Amino acid sequence: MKKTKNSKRISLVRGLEKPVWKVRLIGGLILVLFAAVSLKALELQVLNRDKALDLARKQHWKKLTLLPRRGKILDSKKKELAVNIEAESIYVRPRNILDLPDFSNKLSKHLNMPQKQILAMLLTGKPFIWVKRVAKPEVVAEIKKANFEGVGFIEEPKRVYPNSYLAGQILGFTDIDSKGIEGIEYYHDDFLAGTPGKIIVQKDARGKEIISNSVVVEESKTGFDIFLTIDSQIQYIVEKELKEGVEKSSADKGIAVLMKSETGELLAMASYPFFDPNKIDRNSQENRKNLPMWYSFEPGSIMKGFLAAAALEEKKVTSNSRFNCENGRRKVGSSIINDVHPYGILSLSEIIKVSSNICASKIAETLGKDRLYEHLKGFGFGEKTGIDLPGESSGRLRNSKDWGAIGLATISFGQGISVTALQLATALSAIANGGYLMRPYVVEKITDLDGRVIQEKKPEVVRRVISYDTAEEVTKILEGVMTKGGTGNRASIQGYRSAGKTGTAQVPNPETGGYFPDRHIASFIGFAPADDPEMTLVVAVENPKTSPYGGVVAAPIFKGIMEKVLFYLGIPPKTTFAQSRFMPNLMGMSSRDVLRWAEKEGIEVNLKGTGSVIHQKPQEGEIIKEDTVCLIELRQTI
Amino acid sequence: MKKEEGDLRKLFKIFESQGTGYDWGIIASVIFLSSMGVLMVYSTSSVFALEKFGDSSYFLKRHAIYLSLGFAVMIILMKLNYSVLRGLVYPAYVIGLVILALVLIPGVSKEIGGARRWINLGIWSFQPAEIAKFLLIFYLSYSLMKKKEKMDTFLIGFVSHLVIAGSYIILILLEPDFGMSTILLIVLFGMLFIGGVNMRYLAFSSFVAVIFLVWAVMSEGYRMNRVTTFLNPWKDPLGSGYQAVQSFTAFGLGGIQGTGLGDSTQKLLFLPEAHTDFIFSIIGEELGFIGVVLIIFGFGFLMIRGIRIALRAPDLFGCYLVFGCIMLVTLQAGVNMAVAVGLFPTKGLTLPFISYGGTSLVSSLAAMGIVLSVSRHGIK
Repeated sequence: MKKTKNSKRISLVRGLEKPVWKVRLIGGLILVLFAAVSLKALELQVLNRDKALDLARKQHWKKLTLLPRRGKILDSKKKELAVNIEAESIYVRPRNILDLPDFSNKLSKHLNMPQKQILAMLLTGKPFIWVKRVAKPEVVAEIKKANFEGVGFIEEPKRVYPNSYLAGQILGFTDIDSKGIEGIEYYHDDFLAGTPGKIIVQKDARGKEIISNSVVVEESKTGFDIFLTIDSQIQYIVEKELKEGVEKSSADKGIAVLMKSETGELLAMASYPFFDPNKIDRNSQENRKNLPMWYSFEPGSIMKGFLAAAALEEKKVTSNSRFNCENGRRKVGSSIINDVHPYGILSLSEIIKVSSNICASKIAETLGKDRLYEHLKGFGFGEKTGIDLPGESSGRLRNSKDWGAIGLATISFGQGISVTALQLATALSAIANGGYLMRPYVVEKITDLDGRVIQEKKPEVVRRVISYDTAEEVTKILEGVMTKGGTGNRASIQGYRSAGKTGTAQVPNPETGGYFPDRHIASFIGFAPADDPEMTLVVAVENPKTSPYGGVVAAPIFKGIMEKVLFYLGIPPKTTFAQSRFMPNLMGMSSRDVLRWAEKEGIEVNLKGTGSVIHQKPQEGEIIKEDTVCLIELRQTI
Repeated sequence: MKKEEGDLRKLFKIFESQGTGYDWGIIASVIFLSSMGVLMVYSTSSVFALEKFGDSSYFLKRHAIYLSLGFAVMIILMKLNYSVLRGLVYPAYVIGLVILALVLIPGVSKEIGGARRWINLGIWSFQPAEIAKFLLIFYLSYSLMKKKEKMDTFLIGFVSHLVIAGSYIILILLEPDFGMSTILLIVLFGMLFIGGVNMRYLAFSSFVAVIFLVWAVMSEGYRMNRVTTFLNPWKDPLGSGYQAVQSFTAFGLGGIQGTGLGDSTQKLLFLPEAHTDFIFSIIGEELGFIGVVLIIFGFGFLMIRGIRIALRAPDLFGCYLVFGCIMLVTLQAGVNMAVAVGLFPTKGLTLPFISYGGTSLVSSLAAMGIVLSVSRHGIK
C-alpha cells in the first residue's frame, strides 16, 4: 500500500511519469552482471581453485633468494683480512637429462669427482642438485664450453682470506653458505652476514632462469665491515717469531698473546701450528682452535708474580722481606717441595728473580688460602675474560676451601690451577697499567658499507685489582727477573726496560693424577717498556724437547717479538743509562773511591761496613739503570 | 529571492537527513571504493614504480593528487544545483567534440601502444574520452527530457540522438578505444530505452549495432585476436591468451582469504602495470574472494542507491542524469571485472574509483558529485 502511494507521489511531481520499471530493469541487468562476476570469481577462487593453482605451479617463474655480500674483516690499519670474491656454483636438474650414467661420467671428468658419487647425487630424486658449490673458474669455463643439457650456474660469493694463515684462528671461517662457523666469522655473524634479498625470475620452457627478465622484490643488504684491533704487521711478527721458537725447541704447540697494557685491546694473538681458513678441509680440527683463549694449562712459576702482587697489596711483606729458602728442600705436610737450585735466605725480589718454590710457598702462607684465592680471582683467574670471540675457556681455580693440605703451597708456584694465555695477559696488564683489570677485545669497530660506525669498542675496566703502588713495586720486582742472574735474562731487550716472569710447568697426566715426567709447558710473560708499559706479551710453548725451561725456550721468543714490535711501533730506546752504563769492578776499592765514582756517574750507592769493597751488587758487567741502587759491602782488611 | 537564499543555506549543509539530503549510500560507497583504490594502487604499483622511477610511491603520490582533486570537484558539484547544467549542455557537447577531435591529431596527443588517447599539455595530460563520456550524458539527459513528448518519433526521438551520440562514439572508436565506445553505445541504448524511444527502433538498431560490432571486430586483427583468445585463452597462454591466463592464476592464488595485502606475485612479472586495467585481478589475489565480493558489493550498493536517487529526482533531467552517470560507472566497473575473471574478452577499461588513472578518477568523482546534487533535491 505504502509503495504504491509513494510511487504515485513521485509520478505526480511536475506531472511527469518516470520510467520506473525501465530504470529498475537496467539496474537489474547490471546487478546480474555483478552476480555473474561473483560466481565466476567463486569458481576461480574457491570451487575450481586447483586448476588455477596448478597453472601457477607450472608458471614459469621462481622466487630466488639473493645472497647478500658478507661484510669484510679488516685489521686496525684497514688491511683486508677477509673478503669475498664471486664464484660460480654448478647445479643440475636431473629431470632434463636423458642418460644419467653417461652424463655423470662426463661430468665426473670435469669436476674431478668419482662418477658414482655424482650419479648417487643425481638419483636422489630432487629436482635441483648442487654438484659443485663455488667452483674454480677454469672448471666452470670447461663445463660451460661442454654445454651440457640440464646444467646451470649461479654466482655465489665465496669467502677468501688473502693472507692465508695470518690470524687464521682469530678470523675463523664460514661454511659454503657463507655462515660463520668459528672465530670472528662466527661471533659477529649477525653483523657480517647482511640481509638476503628476493628476486622473481622468469624461466624458459627448459627451466633455465632468465635473469634478464626478473624483478627484484627486495635488494640484498651487504653486511657490516669489522675492523680488528689486530695489526697484521704485528701479527706477522708474532707468528713468525713463535713459529721459529717452536721449531727450534721441537715443541708441539706455541701460543702468543700481545695486548696493549693500558686498554686490553689485542695487537696480536697466535696459535702454532697455524690454520689457513681458505683450506678448512686440509687443517686438522685441533688447528682451528684459538689456543690463547681456548687452551688452559698449569702456569707454573709465572704465578709467583701475582703471588708477590697479592702479598704486597695485603702489606704482609715488602720487596725487602726475607725468607729462608731452606737449601732447596722443604717439607709441607707429607709432601716435599723442591727448588731447582738450592738457596738460603733471600729477599722477596730475589725470590721472584730466581723463582724459588719453597719461598713462594712461605709467602703464600703469610697471606693464607682465602686471601690468595680472593686475589687470584681478582686477577681474573678461573673466569672468562669476556673477550669478543667464541669458545673461551675459563681455566680452573678451585675455591680455597677445596685446596687441601698443600694446595696453598702448590698454587703459590702455579700448580693445581689452570689458566689461559689470555687470562695471563689481562692479569699481567693490570700490573703493567697500574692496577686495572681490562676486558680484552679484538674488534675495534663495526661500520656499514659507507663507513658509518655501527658499533665502536671502548676500553672497559673490569675492576681495579691492586693499588698503583703495588703495581709499581711488582713491576720493579719483575724487572729484576730480566737482569743477569734472573731466570728471564734471555728475554731482556737491549735499550729498553722490561719486566717479566718465566714459567716452567709440568703437564698433568689425567690418568695417574700426577704429572708427565717429560712434558712441560715453557712460558714467559712480560711487558715493555717497564717504565711506561706499552704492551704485555704472553708466550707459552708446549712440550719443548730441547729444554723444559721457560727462561730458555720462551724467553728468546718474547725478546724476538718485543724487540721487533717496539721498533715497528717506533718506541724509542732509553739509551741514556741502560745502554751505556755497565757496572765496573769495584772490588778492593776504598769507600772514598766508591763514593767519588758514584758522584761522578750520578749513581746511588748504599755502603755497608768500612774498609775495602768485598761484595758489590750489581755484579761487574751488569747494566745499571737510572734507579739502580748499588749495594756495596766493605770490610776492613789488613 | 527568499527561496533562493534558503536554497543557498541548504547548499552548505553537506550531510542532511535522508531524502532531501545528500545520499549517504553514495558517499559511503565512493569513500570505500576510493580507499580500496589507494591501497591497491600502492600495492600493485610500488615494485614496478621502484624499478621504473626509483620511487616506490611514484604512482601512489600521483593517485593521491588526482583523488584529492576529484573529491574537491565532487564537493563543488554536489553543492551546486544540478539544474545549472541545463544551460551548459550545448557548450559542453561542443567541448566534448573538440577534445575528442583534438586527441586524434598527431602532435597534440601522444601515441601509446598504437592508440591516441591522451592529450598532452606538457606537465599534465588527460584522456578526453574520460571527460567526454559524462558530457554526452549531460547532453542526452537534457535532450531526452526536452523531447519527452516527441520521443516516439523516428527522427526527433531516435535518429537525432543517434547522430549526436554517434559522433562521440565514432571519434572514440578512431583513437581507437573500442572498449569505451562499446560502453557508451550500451549506455546510449539504455538512456534511449528509459527515455521512451519506440521499441521497434531500438530492436532494429540493436540488430544493426551487433552487425556493426562484428564488422568492427573483424576489421581489426587485434580485436579478432582478443575474441578468439577469449573463447580459448589456453590456446596460446604465452601469447595472446597471456593476460587472461595470468589473471585467472591471480584469482586462483588468492583463494578465499587472499595472499595478504602486498603479497601478490602475479603483479611482479605477469600482470605488469596491474595498477590500471587488471587491478581487480590483484585484488582477487591479495584480498581473495572476500575482497572481490566486497568490491562488487561496493559497486552494487552504489548502483542501488543511484537508482533510488534517479527515481526520486525532482525532474526528468535529474532522473536521466543520475541514471546515465550511475549506469556508465557501474557498467564500466562490471565490464572491467568481467574481463578480469574471463567473462568478457580483454578491453582496455579502468575500474572506476580504484584503478590508477587521473582523468578517469576525477571524472568519475565529478559524476558522483552531480548524483549527490540530485539526491539533495530528491523527493521524500
